[in-house]
Amino acid sequence: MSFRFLSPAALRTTGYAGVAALVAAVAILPFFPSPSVTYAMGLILQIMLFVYLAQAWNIAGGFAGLFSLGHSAFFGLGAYSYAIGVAKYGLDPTICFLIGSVLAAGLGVVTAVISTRLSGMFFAMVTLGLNEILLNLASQLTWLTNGDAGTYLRKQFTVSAGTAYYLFLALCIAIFVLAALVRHSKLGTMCVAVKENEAFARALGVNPAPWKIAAVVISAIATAIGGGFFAMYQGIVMPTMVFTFSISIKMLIVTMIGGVGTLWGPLVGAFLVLFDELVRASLGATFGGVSLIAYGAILVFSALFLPKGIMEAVRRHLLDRSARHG
Amino acid sequence: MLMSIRNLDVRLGRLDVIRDVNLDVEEGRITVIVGANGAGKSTLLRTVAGLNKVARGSILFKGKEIANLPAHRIAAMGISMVPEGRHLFREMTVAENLEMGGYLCRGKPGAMAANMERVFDLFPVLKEHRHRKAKTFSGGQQQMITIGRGLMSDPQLLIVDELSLGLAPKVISEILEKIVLLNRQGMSIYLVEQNVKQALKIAHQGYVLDNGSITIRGSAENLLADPEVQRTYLGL
Amino acid sequence: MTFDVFATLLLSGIFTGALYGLFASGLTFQLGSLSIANFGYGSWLILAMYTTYFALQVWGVPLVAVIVVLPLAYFAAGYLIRNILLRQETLAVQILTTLGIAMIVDGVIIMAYSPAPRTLGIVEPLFYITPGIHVGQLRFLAFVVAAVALIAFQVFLRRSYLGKMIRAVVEERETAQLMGINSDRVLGIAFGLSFVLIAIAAMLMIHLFPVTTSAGAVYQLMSFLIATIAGLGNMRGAFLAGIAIGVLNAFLLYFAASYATVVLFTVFVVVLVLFSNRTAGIKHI
Repeated sequence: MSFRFLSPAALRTTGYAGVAALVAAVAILPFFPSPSVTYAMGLILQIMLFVYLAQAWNIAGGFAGLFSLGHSAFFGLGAYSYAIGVAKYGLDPTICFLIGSVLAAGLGVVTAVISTRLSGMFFAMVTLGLNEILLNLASQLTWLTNGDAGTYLRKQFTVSAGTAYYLFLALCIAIFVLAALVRHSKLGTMCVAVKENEAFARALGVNPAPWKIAAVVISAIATAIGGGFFAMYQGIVMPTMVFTFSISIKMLIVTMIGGVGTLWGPLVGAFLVLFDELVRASLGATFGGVSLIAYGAILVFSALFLPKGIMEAVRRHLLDRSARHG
Repeated sequence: MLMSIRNLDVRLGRLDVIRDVNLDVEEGRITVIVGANGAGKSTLLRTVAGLNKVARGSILFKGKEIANLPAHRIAAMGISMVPEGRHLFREMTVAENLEMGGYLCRGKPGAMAANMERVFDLFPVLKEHRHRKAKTFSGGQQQMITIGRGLMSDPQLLIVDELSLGLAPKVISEILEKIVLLNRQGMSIYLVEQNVKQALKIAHQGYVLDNGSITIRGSAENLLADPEVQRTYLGL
Repeated sequence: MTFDVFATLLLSGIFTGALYGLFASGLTFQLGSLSIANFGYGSWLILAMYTTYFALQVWGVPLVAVIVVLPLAYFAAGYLIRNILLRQETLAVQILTTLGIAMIVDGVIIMAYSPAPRTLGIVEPLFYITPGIHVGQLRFLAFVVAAVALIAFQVFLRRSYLGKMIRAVVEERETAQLMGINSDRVLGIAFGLSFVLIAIAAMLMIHLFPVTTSAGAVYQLMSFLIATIAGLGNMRGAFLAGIAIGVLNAFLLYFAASYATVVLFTVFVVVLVLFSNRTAGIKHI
């Protein structure tokens, strides 16, 4: 086997080509209608949603190192902003997205400021707490949210599965572009520097706070927008659907397993979602426990053996190779 | 030979800290390693005690290979280390610290009490205050507690890492006297010391560690007389 | 609010709070002394509560058997988890590992017990101090058991040789090894013991409250709150802080039942932000 095929440069080109092929395949799938295609589309939609959310989380958690366990708070804010806005107050959808973004940004700033005061573990706990507060508020403020019954969206405010499909594809592409831009911008470099060695960065006169805040705000707004489109697609928003820890943890796991802080990590980790959906579909809800157990086992396994995710392991492997055969 | 170290290499992270060290510790003698700060003396002791990994080489104790054995197994074989910086269980009393030191003799009835009496004979001031918390004692007394704790397991080889750190000269002399006393009672002692002159005065064998390698070796007398040693470490 | 109502609420809060404190003391021990951030702590409580329920109601196991077997099983679980899965000290690894374990536990609960809420439905006999002030007998009994359990644990840590070994290893892990002590095994035992506290708390709680699968997160956050207020590793403080939270919760439920959780969690966030700097790194038991 010639080593030239496995050189980092070749691999990168192959990687890009692969992604392009993947996007193309996803895009043309709806043109071959059949029951199995419809089923596959539903699956892919779910995957795209979580790839999108994972990448959004990655901007704060991966690039800026803010380990948040409560990102579903932003998701829920966006979802409810849209739902309440159009259903209850008849606002224009764009305004609703704007409101959701502002709310999320506000919460994001609060979260980021808190993070500068707290160490990792306490910060993670606080994010959980904030999410629980919003969950309970959504349940209790029935005059606003219709409580646990949820806010129902009439037909004209929702989108069909087909439209949602392309919508989420576009969102995925957009967020990867956004993540790439952030990563290669000054913000990204600053964040990585601070994450790698905060003391050193401070010694160089860099104040980490504004950069962290910026990263979190971008992540929050992106997540909220995702929530808004989710509401559009679901047609109903209930507290336990959006302010739920399982969404937060999925965003996290997908990124961590794929490779936290890397650009393509969330995409690689998406296969985990695929696996989960397949398990759940084939075994049904009563065996929902199996998918939880599988998720948990994968999480434990990757925490112990692949602490930085698959991408990192791959990258290190490539580095070793090029060092040996370079 | 009680302990033999051959061709020892120790790495901390990516740094080579100990390079190809060969040394012997004779039974019933006081062996001393001296050297400048950062030469690797403590690393060497910690490796013998099992707290660092051996990259290459062997450490034979009573004929058995102990390199890379876990520290608690090495302790069970009869090596007791008194660590640098004392590392007492500060919230525990003297008696409790000694009890911890005597973990290995718990199985033998009466051994714990007997060993504690021996420690109190050596350091009477500890007996008086044995129910006070360790953190309330002076530096010198804390050093005594640490040494006492190391003796509780009835070891065959006592390793002492930098006992003079932060102590007044008079206190250092006092404690070194006790070390000599222990040795006369038959204890083999392996010492690492910054205070070269006092260390070599009580020792039988000496080694100079410089930048991870042994540069000078010989009897303590010879080392004291060695012009190199005198110039570099004794300021003469 | 009459004095009678006030007193009843206060007593009820104290006794219930003692249970929270017992449960939280396990976490504070894990956090403070063992430096393990267990983000799946709540799930283990839920598992124990469900198991106790099923043992008593469905499988017909006598209570005595449960009291003996469950804590032993939990000790074993704690020991194995610490020594097989939690040897690495990195925070991220710990959080993810404990989260993963919690998910497995949650999955097991769903599969073995089905996710329906369960309650032993015990009508609690009341003890009337005065005609207007009453105390639940079960609650009071639970309070006594919790207090005894914690005191026993403290005495164990302070007086017994194994307890001292645990304290020694917690303070100076390497140095303890120099004395022949197998620090890993001791830490495993310590972790196992903290799991026993979970089992005891669960067995008491299932007699007083229903259990649902979603309650894990609430108990988890509550324990963190209590642990933070008390100071990491301070078990006595955790008991008292638990009581404080119990009282707060009792009054909140009375005044604004539906918003009680929101207020509690807001308190949680505020306390964490303001006080975690003070408590971080305190390692006394």
